Parts: sequence; C-alpha cells; structure tokens
Amino acid sequence: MPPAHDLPRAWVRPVNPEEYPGFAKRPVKPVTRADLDNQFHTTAMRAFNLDRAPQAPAHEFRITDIKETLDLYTRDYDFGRAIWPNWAFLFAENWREAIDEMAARELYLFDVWNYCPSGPFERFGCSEYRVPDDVHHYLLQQMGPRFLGYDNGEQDGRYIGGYAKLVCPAPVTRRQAYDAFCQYFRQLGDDLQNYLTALNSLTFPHYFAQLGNHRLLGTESAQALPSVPMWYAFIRGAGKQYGLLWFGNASVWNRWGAKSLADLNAEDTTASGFLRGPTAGTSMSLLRRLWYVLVMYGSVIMGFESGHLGSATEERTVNGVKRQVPVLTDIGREHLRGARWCAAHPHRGEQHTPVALLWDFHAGWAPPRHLYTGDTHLVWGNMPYEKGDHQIDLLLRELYPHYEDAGFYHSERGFLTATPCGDSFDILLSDASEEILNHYECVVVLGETRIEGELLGRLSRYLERGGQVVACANQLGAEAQARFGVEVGAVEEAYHAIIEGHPWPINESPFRMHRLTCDPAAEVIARTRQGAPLVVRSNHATGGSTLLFAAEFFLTNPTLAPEHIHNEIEQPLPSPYAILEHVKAILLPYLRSSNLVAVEGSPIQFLVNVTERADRLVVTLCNNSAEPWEGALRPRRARVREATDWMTDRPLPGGDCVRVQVPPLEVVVVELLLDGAAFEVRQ
Amino acid sequence: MSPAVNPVYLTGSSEGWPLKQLAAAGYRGLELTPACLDNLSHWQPAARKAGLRALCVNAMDELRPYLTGSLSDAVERRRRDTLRRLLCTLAKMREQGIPFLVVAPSRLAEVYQSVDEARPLLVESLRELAAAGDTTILLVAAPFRLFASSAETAAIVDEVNRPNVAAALDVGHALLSDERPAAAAKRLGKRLRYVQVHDADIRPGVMRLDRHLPLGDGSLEKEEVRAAVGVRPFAVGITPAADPLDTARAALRWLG
Repeated sequence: MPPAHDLPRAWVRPVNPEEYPGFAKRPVKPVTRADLDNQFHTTAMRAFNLDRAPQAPAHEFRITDIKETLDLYTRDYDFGRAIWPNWAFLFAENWREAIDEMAARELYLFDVWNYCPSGPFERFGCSEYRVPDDVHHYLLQQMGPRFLGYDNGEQDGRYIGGYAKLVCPAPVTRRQAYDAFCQYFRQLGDDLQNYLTALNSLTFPHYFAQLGNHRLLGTESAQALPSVPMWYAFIRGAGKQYGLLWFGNASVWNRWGAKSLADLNAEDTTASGFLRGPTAGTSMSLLRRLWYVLVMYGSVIMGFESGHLGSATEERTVNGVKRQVPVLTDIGREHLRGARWCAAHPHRGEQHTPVALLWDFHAGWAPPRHLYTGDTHLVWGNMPYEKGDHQIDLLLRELYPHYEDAGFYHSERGFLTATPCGDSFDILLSDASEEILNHYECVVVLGETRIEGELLGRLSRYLERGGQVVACANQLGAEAQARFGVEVGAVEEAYHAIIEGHPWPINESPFRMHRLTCDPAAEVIARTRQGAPLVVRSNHATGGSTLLFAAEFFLTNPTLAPEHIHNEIEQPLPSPYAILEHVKAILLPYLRSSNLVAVEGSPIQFLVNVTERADRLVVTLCNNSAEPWEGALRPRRARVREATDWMTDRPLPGGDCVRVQVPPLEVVVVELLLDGAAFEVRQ
Repeated sequence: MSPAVNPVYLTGSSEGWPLKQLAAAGYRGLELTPACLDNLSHWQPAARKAGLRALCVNAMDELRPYLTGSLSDAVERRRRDTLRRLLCTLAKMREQGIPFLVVAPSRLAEVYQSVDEARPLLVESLRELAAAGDTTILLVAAPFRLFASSAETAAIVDEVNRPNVAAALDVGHALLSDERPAAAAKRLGKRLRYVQVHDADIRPGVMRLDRHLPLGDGSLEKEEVRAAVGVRPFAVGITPAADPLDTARAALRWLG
C-alpha cells in the first residue's frame, strides 16, 4: 500500500446546499437532501386531466380524476414520487384539490412546465402566465419544501435562439450581453414567483444558479440538445459552485420527431406535423444509457420525459383492487427497471471530478452549434467567439470527441461520447470561491480569462494549498507572472515544438506564442529549437504546481476562413483553429493521470464514483458504439480484491485489473473493492 | 450635413459623454435613448453649452421583445405596457421639443401568432402613438424581426396612414437584411425622414449580428450612404470597441 502522501486526494462529499454560505438568508432555498427525505427520486405523470372545453372562458374548467391519475402513475405503476405536471392545473377551479391530494400522499411537485414567453394564456398550451399569489402561497403551505419549483424550461435556448439577436445594438462587452440575458430571466422569474427549477437546454446553469431564485438544476437531455458528458460538467460545476442539487431527464424527442410506443404495431407517421412512432425520436438504447449515466453523475431525481404507457389496457391488481390500466411500454418498463436498479444500488457515491475547467464569469460560452440557431460560434447568442472561446470548444472536443455533433446526426452521435481523459471534469466560473476550488486537484484556466485581481488571489491560495493550475501565458496579468515563475515577453510566431525527451521536433501549424523568461527552478518541458520555452512547469514549495503554455490559448493560427465553415445536418462542424500537437502531447496525459482507474481498451466513456471508503471505487462504462467493447479496469494504486457487475450483481475476477465486456450501446457499472487505498479523502 | 450622434451607443453609458469634443468634431445633434429623458441633468446642460440639439429618441431599448417590450406582442398586457412606457417617453419628448421617435417592429411571438395577427397589432400601436401628439413616429426596419425590409416598412407606414408616422432608415440594418442603403432609401421615398448610420459586416461566413460597427469596419459603401442620407437629418449610431471619440471622429471623416 503506498504511503498516504503519495495518494491522489479525492473530494468525496456530496453537495449539501444548506452548508453553503448564505443558505439561511436565501428567500428561495435550494432543495436539500433532507427536503427529498434523503432519497433518490424518479418522476411520474406529466399532466392532470382537465375537462376544459376549447370555447369555454379561461378559468371555467376542472381537473378530473385526480386520485385515479395519481394512482395510475404512483401506485398501479410506481414510476416515482416526483409529480411533473403541466401548468394548466394551477388555474382550474379545483386546483386546491390537486395540491391537497399530492400533499396528502407526500408526493413532490416538480418542475411545473410549459411556460412560454408571449404565448397567450387563453390557449392553455405553451403560454405566458403569472402564477397567482394565492396559488403559490397555498402550494408552499400545503407542500412545503416538497414543491420543487416552476419550470425555467429550455429558456436559455429560447433566449439565445429567439431573443438575443434582437438586442440592438448587439452587445460590445460580455457584461452587456449578460445584462440582456438577465433581463429575460428577470421577466420569467417575476412571472413564476421567482421559485424555479432550471431545465437547461444550453450551457448557462451557472447564471441561473447565481440568480438566487432557483431550487434545482437539470437538463432536457437527448432531444436535439447538447452532449451530455460535456453538459453535465456545466451542471455539476454550477451545482457545486453555488450549492444546488441537480436532476436528470431524458427526452423522447430528437431533431426529427418523437418516440411513441403507444401502439407498437403502428408505423411512424408525420400526421401530427412531425415524425412520431415506435422508431422515431430518441432510441431506446440512448434513453437507457442516459438513465444510468445521469444517475451516476449524482442526479437526485431522474425520469424519462414521456411515453411510459401504451394505448391498450390490461387488468392489474394493486393492493387487492383490480383495475383496468394502460399497458407498459418499453419506456415505462425501462423507467421501472432503472428505478429498481437505483433502489438496489443506493451507495453509488460521488462522481470523481478532480479537474475543474474554469473561465470568466461573463463568458456566456455556448457550444459552437446547437439546436436554437443556424449560426455558429457565438457567445451569449449575439457575440462572435473570440480565440479563447475556440480554445474552450477545441479542448472539449478532445475531452468529449464529437460533442459538438449532438443533435445533428440521425445516428445520435455526440449525445454521449467516449471520454479519453475520463468523464472527470467540472466547469466553474471565475467567481468560484476558494472553498470550491479546494475540491479539485487541478484547475485549468480557459478562455478569455485574465488571471489577476481576485481570481489571482484565489488561485494563489489554491496553489499554496497544493493545487495545480494550468494556464496560457496570454492569460496572465503582471502579478500572476511571478506566481507562475515566468516573465511574459513579446509575441512571436513558431511552427514547431520540441518536447523534452523526444528526439525530433514536432511540426506544428504556425502559432502565436509569448516569449517566456523562466525562474531557474522552473522546468521547461517543451521549447523551440532556438530554446524559447513553450511549456513550463513550476513546483511551489507548498506542494502546488503550475503548468504554463506559451502558445496563445493552446491554438494554431486560423487555418480555415469563416466562409468555409458550414453548419449542416449529418456533417461535422470545422473550427477555424486547431489545438497544437505539443499541447495535446503534454496536456491530455496530464489530465488523464488524475483518474483513479486506468481504462484499457478502445476509447469508451467512463466515470469513477467514490465514497469515504478509500478502498472502494464504482466505475461506470458506457459503450456508445455499435461494436462490443472489451477492456480492463486497472486501479492505479491498488489491486482489485473483489469486483461486482452491478448490472447482473455477479462477481468478476479481480487481480491487478478487472476485465469487462460492455455490449454495444450499453452501460456496465462495476464496483471495485481494493486491497488498499486508491486515494486520500480530500478535506 | 448636420450630423447627430447617439452618445449612449458610442460610449456604452448614459452619462459622462464627451459632448464638447463631439461638437468640436463636427456633430450638431444627439440621438438619445428613452432613459436619457429621465436623466436630463446628466447631459442637457453640457449639450446646450456644446451646441448639440436633441434630435431624436431611439426607442430600440424599449423594444426588445419580452425583455422590455413589443408593439405587436401576442400577450396584450405586455403590448399595453410597452405603449404606456412609450407614451410617457413621448410626453417627455414634447416637453423637450424633440421631434423624432424611432420605433421598430417586433418578432413574431413564438407560438400562436401569425404575421396576419401581428401586423394589425403593430399598425394599431403606431396609430396610438401617433395620436399622442405631433411628434413624428419613425418606423425603422430591423434585422431578425418580423418586418425587416424597406418595402414592408413603407407598406406599414402607408397602412397606418397618419401624417406624423413616417419611416427611418438604418443603413446597417438594411445591409443585414440584404438591402443596399441607397435602394432602400429610394424605396421609402418621401416617407423617409431620418437616417441612422452604422456599419455591418455581411461577408460570407461572418455571422450576421446587429453590431453597429464603426463606419468602414463592415460592408457599407460611402457613396450609397451619402445617397441614402441626402439632405435628411441623420445620426451616427456606432458601438465601438476602441476609443469612442476617435471612432466618432473617424465616422465623420469616412462620411466625408
């Protein structure tokens, strides 16, 4: 067993919102684990039945079959306790009855959905509405913290796609762009009692969390929305930074239509205006993989969007009572199977995310393409990417290959990706506290971020506590240079790199670099033939270290003119830049080395969960390929004493490593018990 | 040529404008935002001293659909709220003797609104604003919105059919909507009373954004801008990333 000081330090504690500064004073409290009865939950039911006639006056309707509907989704079929209804019931004549019934059953009311700016209320569909004070107060009175919030649903995408470009003139500064974004969400918050759940559709969860009026964070995954491993790096980061729990949800929709299994014998049809049917929408295999991945990411609530019940019925006996109920679909069956699996494996631990990717608070970064616009490479929906934004994109392409293709391919490429450096990153913004930075082994500073002022102070103290910081010379303010053991000089051009220990120079596309003058103690690990340092590592007396790259944002000079960038379905999206080869050669192994388990085999998505028990790891392998995967899990610091495949609950042979097979488009979760500690618990 | 400048766009601020220097550079008027009318003391004394006249209020800030307002919002209370605020602005403009108010169409509400539903609401809103007094209400086409072309602007102005409702032409907006400014001015004809000048980059592959670029930084051609302006009052409405005063001076040099 290696000495404890040689072990990597892993943060193993879950987010507990009540432990965050200011929690007691927050008017809208984030959902706590105690609010959830310290249990994992699943979602059930998407709408109450209404007897509303189309021509009737707006408020003249009632909710019907309240008890029967709740029975169907929570007793006849135990889909879960988090009821997820459409908003319209709040305006029915008997809205109190529905709330009373949910409260009496100790159910949760989750993410009351379908608010849409400028949609007339009277349509009772995608509508703009204001939650009346008496309804809101009654909800809080009857349900207390079990009311989890109104849906801020896909509104970040809606703002970016439909409103950001109408800001005239377009913002000059990112601060202005942020202000416009907040203007939209102030309106939305005011309409919805500032009591919200964020069902994100893009990469803005930090801003929602920071607004102070949200209780939970999550996403509408699949659909035609972003890549999940990349996206949950944002969600987790925001949750950890601002003290909010997060949930998972997988949609039956994709860009072209929706899965409907109501009638398995039906043909897919476009009769409803979009493709709908058994083979339309999100594939069952993606839905299934998303369930397990999102659960292992630490989601406190999970569910499939819809489609649990078929149109045929069957007789079921529940608690001695016979009822004729709709039959289960594959979606419903998979939901129940997933819920049972979660109940059978409650000690899933916390995802090990030793590396934080950090950039400026006002960055407003979004993937280079997404569902909501045909434009590419915009931040905040109305400002062009700068070079630092391309750096974020291109590093994410290395960490989550093809992430930028999510939603653009029928093959579902990109929704889940291999993770060559591990699914082990969180994304933080530059206002992250020291306390939060100290959860991580390493912080990689990206984008148009200046390391100076308060951020420099926090990173300096992080280094003093033994942290590792990765940055580029062009991000360093004057004071930061001393911290990194360099003086940053003039800009030069280069087109090669020599990595120490490699016999030959690496040819590079031309790139801009800063001339660095290093402290004598600094280690130059890459340079030019003329001796100019390209990558410098400095170890600090307190145990921390810095890794500094001279190349501007890790990138080549532009290699592609904008007119050659086309955003098309079923086609890749090129970038005008590329990450330099010497950067990849040094940075990617450096990031990979922070994983507690080496995964040997062809690239696969993998994540490692940890608990207080340092000799126990839970490894999730998600094979997003149509070929079977076979490989080995090799803990870096100990041998495997016992291994259990949680999908079958059968043991696997241990030893130096565990050999695992993952069928095509499947997930396997393996619990490893080691003969020694794999990490030191980070305090 | 008697150019005005929008100092809010130029400096990104509602106060601390370099008015003396702008006057020295050759500017003679100011295009303001509605918020400026609530802060008269911040700029009016200095503007008078510099000989800069308040020429126009550009209400685009108040016409960001959902964020601030819309003249054709499908949610009636939002449209009423927008009108209420603009009517307040008009009252303040009358007190100050400012002759022009620039307004723009909205976007189509995302759900349940057709063009045929939105257009009458816009027309009705314009008539209501026009009825508030003799201030000239200028409809300007804007990209990414429901009506983005000079032809549509002209048709709406005609439909509104009020003597104090006319058109403004934003030459940058015209470019972004694939119209050449001179042709747009010609199409608007006698309806055109006021021109707003900034550049826009419409090269292939460049994302089309309403960035109000400094003159010469985009795809505008000098002669077509001069033709569009003619003898009409006009304002430079640029949002520079560099020094505002230098950019404002450069704009006048570019215009010749």
